[in-house]
Amino acid sequence: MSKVFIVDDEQAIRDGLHWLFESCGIQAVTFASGEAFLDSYHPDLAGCLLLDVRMPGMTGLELFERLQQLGCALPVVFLSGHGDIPMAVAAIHHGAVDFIEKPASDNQLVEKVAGCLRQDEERRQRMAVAETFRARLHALTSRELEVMHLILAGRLNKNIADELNISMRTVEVHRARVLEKMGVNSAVELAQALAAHEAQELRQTIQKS
Amino acid sequence: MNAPDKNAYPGKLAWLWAMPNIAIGLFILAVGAFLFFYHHQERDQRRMGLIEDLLWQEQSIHQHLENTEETLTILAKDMMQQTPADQRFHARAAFQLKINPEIIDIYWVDEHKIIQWHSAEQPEPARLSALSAEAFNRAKLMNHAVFSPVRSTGAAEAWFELHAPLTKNRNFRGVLVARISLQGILKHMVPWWFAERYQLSILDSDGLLLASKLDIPVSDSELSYKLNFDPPGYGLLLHASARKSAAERAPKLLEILIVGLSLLVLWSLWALRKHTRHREQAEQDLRGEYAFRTAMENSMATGMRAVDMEGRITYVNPAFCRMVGWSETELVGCLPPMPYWPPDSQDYAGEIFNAMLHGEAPPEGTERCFIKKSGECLDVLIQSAPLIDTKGRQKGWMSSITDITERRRTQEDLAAAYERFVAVMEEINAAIVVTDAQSHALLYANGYFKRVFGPTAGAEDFCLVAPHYWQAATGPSARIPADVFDTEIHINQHWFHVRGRIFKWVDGRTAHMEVATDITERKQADELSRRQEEKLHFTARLVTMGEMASSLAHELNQPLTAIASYATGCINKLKYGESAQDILPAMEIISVQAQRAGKIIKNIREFVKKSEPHKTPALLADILEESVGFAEIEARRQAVEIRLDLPEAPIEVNVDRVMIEQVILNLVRNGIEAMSGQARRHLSLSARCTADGFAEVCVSDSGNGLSAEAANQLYTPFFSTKPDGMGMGLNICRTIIEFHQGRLWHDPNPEGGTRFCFTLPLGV
Repeated sequence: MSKVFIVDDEQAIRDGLHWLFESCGIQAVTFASGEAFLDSYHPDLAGCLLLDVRMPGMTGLELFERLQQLGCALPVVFLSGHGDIPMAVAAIHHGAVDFIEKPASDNQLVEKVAGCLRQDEERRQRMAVAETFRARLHALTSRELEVMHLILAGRLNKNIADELNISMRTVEVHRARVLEKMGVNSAVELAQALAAHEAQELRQTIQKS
Repeated sequence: MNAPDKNAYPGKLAWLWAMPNIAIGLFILAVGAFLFFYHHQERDQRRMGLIEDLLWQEQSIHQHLENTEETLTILAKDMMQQTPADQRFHARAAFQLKINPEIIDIYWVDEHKIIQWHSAEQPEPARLSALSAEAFNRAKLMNHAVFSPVRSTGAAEAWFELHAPLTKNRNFRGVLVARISLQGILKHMVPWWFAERYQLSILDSDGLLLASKLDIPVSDSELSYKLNFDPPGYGLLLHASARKSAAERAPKLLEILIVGLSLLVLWSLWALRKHTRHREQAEQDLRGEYAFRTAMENSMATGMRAVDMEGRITYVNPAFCRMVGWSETELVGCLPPMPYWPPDSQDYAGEIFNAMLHGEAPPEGTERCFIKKSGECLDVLIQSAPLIDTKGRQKGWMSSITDITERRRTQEDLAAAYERFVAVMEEINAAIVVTDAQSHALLYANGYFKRVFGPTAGAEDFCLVAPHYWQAATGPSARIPADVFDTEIHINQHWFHVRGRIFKWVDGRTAHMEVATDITERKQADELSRRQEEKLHFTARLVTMGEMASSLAHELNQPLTAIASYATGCINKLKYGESAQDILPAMEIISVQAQRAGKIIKNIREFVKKSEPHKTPALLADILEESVGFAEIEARRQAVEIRLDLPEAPIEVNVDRVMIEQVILNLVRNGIEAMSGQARRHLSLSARCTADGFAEVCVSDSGNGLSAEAANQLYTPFFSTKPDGMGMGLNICRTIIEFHQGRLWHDPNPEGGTRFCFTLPLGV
């Protein structure tokens, strides 16, 4: 279940925000400081982060940088008070989703957080598909991988047999196992799935860098 | 060359001189001794010869007289036997007379002493003379021929007589007398060679001369001898003295010659010695002169070099050798190119050398570069003169070489130092001027002074930047050197930092020096930095204010955010149909948070309250003077004249002094800034008591005045007519004055510009 993780040093604000998100049916967890959040952080957390910029101890920005280093992909929304807007802008540049100036009006904050939660959900699903695909690829033997590459290169079974110096029959068996393991029905589907996976990998690599 | 040994030489010379002296002395002695002995021996020989000859002569005469005696005895005998044999006797007698010329007369005296016969013609006294009679008697007595003594009769010839007795039959019959002349004996019996050699004479016993051979008188020669002349006896002496012959005179001549020559030798020796002494003296002088010259040459630092007409080096002095580093032996005999010529300009060096050889070298000398043996370069000055020998012919050229490396370096150093000095003084970014303290005549001014102050300063009596400071500062008791003043002066739109110093000029007179540095830029920079500092202060204040506002906003934000969150949540819940009961706790929290916000605001107000003005009684005049004191620096910089117009009676007010001073300062600054760029810059401050119990202070400037728009917006916050103004000043001023229950306003200055006035209630 996705949650909103609220980090603010002010008890009244934490409670107020908790009350607000609760009123909209969004689960909220509050932390009094960045350090407290880091203590309970693990990569499987789902949802989004709401960070106060100005806090005693670790500031919101410092916490954000730390989380990025840890590879956290949770969307982050900053809560900025008067005078720390430039800091919030800098945070956006570093990959934060948005910032909201205190005091927030109406349900602007709720809407933004809801958007973030959705975004995180989508991301998680994409990640899950990619993970499955990766697992399937890993299940292939080396010979099957060889055969798969040659299939994707558009070779006929006969040619593959010649190239790998194995019998045509064996090629057919390998081919069938590859399609089965990869959960596709044809070579065309296999190529599409691989292309999508590669695009996903590429996207992730870009994000990490 | 070594100095001659002056002690050794005369000793040697003395020996050298003694040798010929001694030799000549010995020689003369030897010759003298030889002559003496020779002379002595000669005389002895001659004496012996004389004696021998005389003895022989005497013998000869003696013989002859004996013969005569015998002849006469025979004649007498014959005469007696041949009686009268007159004829015969006469003839014989004549014959005897003839062969014996010394017999001058023969006569016969009878026994009666009567002369019977006489050979001579002249009549003869018949009687015998006493002398003859004595002989007659002796002949008669002895019956033997007897000689009579010599009879000398004055002028007539001396003679003696031989008396031969005539006996007949033993009877005496008289005597035959032969009268023999002494002169005749000498004339006829002495041979010529004897006469030539000797002067023979016959002397009687008394030494009187009776007769002599040749009548040449003989000086009493040292060489003479006497013999008894017997017969006739009677003390007659035969005297021979040597005659000086030519052969005899020759040795004398030789002696004279020898003596003369010896004298000549002595004289020549003396003359030679004198000449040698002279030469020795000259040599001594020459040696001294030479030593002097050598010492001079060795001691002088100038190199000397002589070349012959072909350019071959014939002489170099030690100084020259030291200079070029080559030894004398290496240099003498060298022909161009010389080893000390610089290798890269041999041709040029050769030209100069040839010019010198042709006598075309400039008389003031040529400056050249020599290369030492060690390779170092040497700057020299060469001056040449013809070398003339004693016969007046030119033998070459003598050159003096002076090392001018040091001199040139010194000159260059001096020139460089001077250039540096001039360059520094001309390029220095300050005016430096020196004038005489009495006459104020300009002694020195650098280029900067001439450029900046030249035209104006030259026209005045004082060639100084700040003459007035001198008049104030110089007195008779002023110490020298001393710094007189150090000030900043504004001339021709420029600020100058001028320092005055009194000191002794190079010629000893007292001089005034001023160093004026243009500090306009620095002043401007200072001004700018002051303004910037002010701005910075202001900004800092703003930043502080911003920070305060920010923290205030944050503080307020917190409860407000909480309130907003709860309120929105409540609204949401109410929309979803939840009961009021559900939202009650949230509403309570909202209330609490609102109270919290209110508390924050209250805190701020209390904080502001703490900085409220602190009123104390003060004299308005003091406040004004102090404020003007603050503004004076600015006013002087802007060349604004500030006039303070205070009433005589003191005005007492009860104010926060610092705040009021701030207000006045602010108004004054505004006034000064309003007049910048104006020709007339007068700012006047006036104070007076108004009728309604207020003190009124007015600040009037002579600026352009305020535009209507500016006047309207004058107190609007953040409005400013100044480019860097904050738009806070007048606003604050008004707040302060109003706080003091006073009033601030402005109106146009009747003399042009603007007048700002404020009132303050008078103190109790």
